[in-house]
Amino acid sequence: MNYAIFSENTKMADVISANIRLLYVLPYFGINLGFGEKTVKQVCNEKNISVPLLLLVCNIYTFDDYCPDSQYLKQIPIEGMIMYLQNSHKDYLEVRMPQIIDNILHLATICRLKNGNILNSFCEKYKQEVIAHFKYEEEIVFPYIIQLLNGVKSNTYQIKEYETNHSDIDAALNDLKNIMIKYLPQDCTIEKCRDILLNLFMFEYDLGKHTLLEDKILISLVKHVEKNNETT
Amino acid sequence: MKQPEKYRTIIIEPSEIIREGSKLFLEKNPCFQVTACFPDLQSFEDKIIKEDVQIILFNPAIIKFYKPAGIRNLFAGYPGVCLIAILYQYVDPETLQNFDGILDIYDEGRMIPQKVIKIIETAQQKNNRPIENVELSDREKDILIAVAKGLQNKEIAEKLHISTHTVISHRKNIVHKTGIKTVSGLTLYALFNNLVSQDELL
Repeated sequence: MNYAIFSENTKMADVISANIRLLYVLPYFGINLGFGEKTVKQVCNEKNISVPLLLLVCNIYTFDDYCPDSQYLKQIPIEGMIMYLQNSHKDYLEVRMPQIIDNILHLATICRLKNGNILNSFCEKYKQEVIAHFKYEEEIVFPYIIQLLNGVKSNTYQIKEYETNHSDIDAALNDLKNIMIKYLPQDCTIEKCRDILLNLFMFEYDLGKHTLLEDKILISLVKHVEKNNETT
Repeated sequence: MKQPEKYRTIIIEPSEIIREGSKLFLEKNPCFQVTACFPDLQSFEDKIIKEDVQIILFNPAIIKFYKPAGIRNLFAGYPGVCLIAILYQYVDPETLQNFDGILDIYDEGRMIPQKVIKIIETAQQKNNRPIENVELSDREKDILIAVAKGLQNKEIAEKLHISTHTVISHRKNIVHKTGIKTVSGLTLYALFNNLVSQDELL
């Protein structure tokens, strides 16, 4: 690869300046601001975070065509990755999604949308969909992986099942965004809904990258472990 | 298929000169981005991550031991990808039939991007019908209203005296035109466009 990506010697502050979306990502690693001149490596070592994992996530979130090779992926600790995913699930469910939904419902009230309660049930339905999606991962997929790492084999489950069942939770969000941009009544001004839209865009983007991490990285890594377990 | 901003391309070619040369000429046109280059099939297959690419440029000579019909299967992980052969030695016509087009080593460098774009467009015409972004037709509105009211395809077909197949094809067009994929999203759309009233939904 001949384009610049973040490396362990990049200053942490430069990483944030290059991609402000990472302001959502870093807390999932337990990282706070106030880096001074510290590099990625220094910050990670202080916090006991895997440098390759942090770099992987930051690079995936920042460079759309970033594509690590198998040699690099071997350095990724799967447990650390699961912990990262769990932390993000928690934030999505407890903070970001409720916030967006509350704001949309508030908008419906101040704009006196006549279809406010349908919007309400749309949001509620979406929320349930996301909860179910994460619940499957938290209760079935992640425990399976942890067991696998501990050498416990499962006769009934394989990561392939996750690969085929991994549902798409961005579709409804994308619809909501489209509807807000295209079809909100004219008296619902941009000023009133701009923050919500920005939040929606950010959330949709993050969910997309989150899914990418699960689909492309996590599944590949676990398949590798499954294969190794079979041969030993 | 949505037109990507850039055609993401992979090159598989043993000669470094030709690999880098093709990359250079392709990327002179901003429509193209070469995301990865491989000297052989093995290193291409070793890659864990299958990225999203639209074009695979490769030299059929590297797979001469494969049966021609197996070529597409090598790239089964890339459905809909446009396969282009890089040619500088004789390859039998039967093998070449599996490709969407050919780049010849004697092609003029500056013409390469245009040539590739032409190949892609021809390949897409084979697979895709044109998508126009226009208002919903009256029939599509009827269908949309029925969907918003929660009717299933079969019920809609009976109600409107058309086949289920027609209903499905209308629904595909609705999704194409509005960009809205979920049923609950379509319900909101119908409400905001005054196609149905809230009372009708309850």
